[in-house]
Amino acid sequence: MHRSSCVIVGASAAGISAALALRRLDYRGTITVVDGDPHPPYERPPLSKALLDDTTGGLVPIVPWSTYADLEIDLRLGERVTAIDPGALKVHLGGGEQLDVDRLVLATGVTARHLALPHADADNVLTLRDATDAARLSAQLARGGPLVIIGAGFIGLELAAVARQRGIDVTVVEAQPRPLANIVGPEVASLVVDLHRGHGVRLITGATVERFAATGSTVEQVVLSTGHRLDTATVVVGIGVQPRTELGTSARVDVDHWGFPVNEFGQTSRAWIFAAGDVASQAHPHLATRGRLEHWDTAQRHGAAVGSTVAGEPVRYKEAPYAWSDQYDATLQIIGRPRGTDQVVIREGATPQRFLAFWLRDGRLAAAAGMDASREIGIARRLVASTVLVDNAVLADAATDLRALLKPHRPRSPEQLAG
Amino acid sequence: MSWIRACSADELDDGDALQLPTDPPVAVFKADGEFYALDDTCTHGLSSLADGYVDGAQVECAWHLAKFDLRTGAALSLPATKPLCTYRVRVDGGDVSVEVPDRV
Repeated sequence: MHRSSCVIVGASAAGISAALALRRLDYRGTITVVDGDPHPPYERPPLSKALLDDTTGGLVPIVPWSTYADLEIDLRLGERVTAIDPGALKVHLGGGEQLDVDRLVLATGVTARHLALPHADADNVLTLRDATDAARLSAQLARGGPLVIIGAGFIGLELAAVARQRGIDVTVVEAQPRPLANIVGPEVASLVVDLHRGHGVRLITGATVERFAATGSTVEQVVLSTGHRLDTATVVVGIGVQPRTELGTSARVDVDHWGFPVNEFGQTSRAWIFAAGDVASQAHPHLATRGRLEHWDTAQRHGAAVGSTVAGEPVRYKEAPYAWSDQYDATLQIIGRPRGTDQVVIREGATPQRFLAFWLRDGRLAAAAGMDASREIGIARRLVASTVLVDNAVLADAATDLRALLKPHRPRSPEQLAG
Repeated sequence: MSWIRACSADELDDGDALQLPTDPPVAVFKADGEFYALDDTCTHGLSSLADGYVDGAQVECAWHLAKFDLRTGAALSLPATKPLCTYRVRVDGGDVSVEVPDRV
């Protein structure tokens, strides 16, 4: 009998989760995961949170190495997929080999955006996406500062925190009036700004890079639109990402502004080709418009849902997005996606080191963010998944036990709700 | 190993947990009327599981959402792949005691 074959492009959180879900649900076909990155599949979040000392020593494996052999998941690491042939049902590898395929999962992720400026490719201008980037950055930072970070998103702020903890002089440049404002709104953004300024980060907002002043292949000064001239030893550019959709052309699947558009089951415009994780353009119930959910938790859950669907048990991915970001000694956690039209409630007693914020939509909790408040965020996650009506004064009251709000309506878990 | 008093039995409601200042730290949970004691530190990301969300006989890590079985310590979901150590619990009268490793 013909054995079915699933090829997964990307040994990422999404790709590996898909592979594991396939086997968990007794998928009997072959599973091949292809990735150009030669390292055994590793967790990306720690890359920006604690910098590596060498290229492999500090990498955190997604699952123990033996798992892949145990589950007959064939890893093709350090190899690239060059094309998909949907007519012949083949995946072409860079070395010339062709793999049979009847189910394809594109978990190709995203790449860091670069600045379109002269010297943006200088030796000391870096981005951070993978283990190789992290090793380069770590070696660069070992020489000391000053460090100039372009972009005050999650990557930029986490790096700022890590560098300050190493005693490095840090300046963060942000084009918007506030960092993270599109993600957590101005109130919470101000608290995060205060936290970083309190740790000695210099933050310049409403500014863009006008040009790099370089000697040879080394940038020595960053000149801003505001007129600032920043001396620098290392520049890190964290200004967002671009989806890796190159394979869409040969696969002849639709590609949009965000990535590969998928339905609620992760299917692209071609029913046997799926996309999972960062590269998927989703019409997700927590997004106001179609878009990407660029979080590790999403990648993992979306990958698992797609793997389950490929294995014959369709799963819709509709859980609230969840992200965390380590900032100095505390963790910033965000559940859901705040919108400008939501009513924001900051719990009494908020400080930059510890706070809790809620966003209400139609009387229900739509999103929450907390710094050093992980216990409350765990409960807020259930409230977001529930239909419990909440009151802003109750949420603002520091004495409120959030768990008590859940009790009258014992909710189903987010996983059950997603099913 | 030695037994230490963790708390009084009425101190914890279902879904509550507390962290014992042992080395390594141990967390005591109450779930569906039963008490459980396990390593407090998540085997994945070093967070305190006493801060996690208890649902039935499972606890979900507060940081990265790995789940563990309170009865066996088994890791039930990614990102955790390693189990937690479990410890014996005794309820004597109104007191909850846990058998913890001796400090080395």
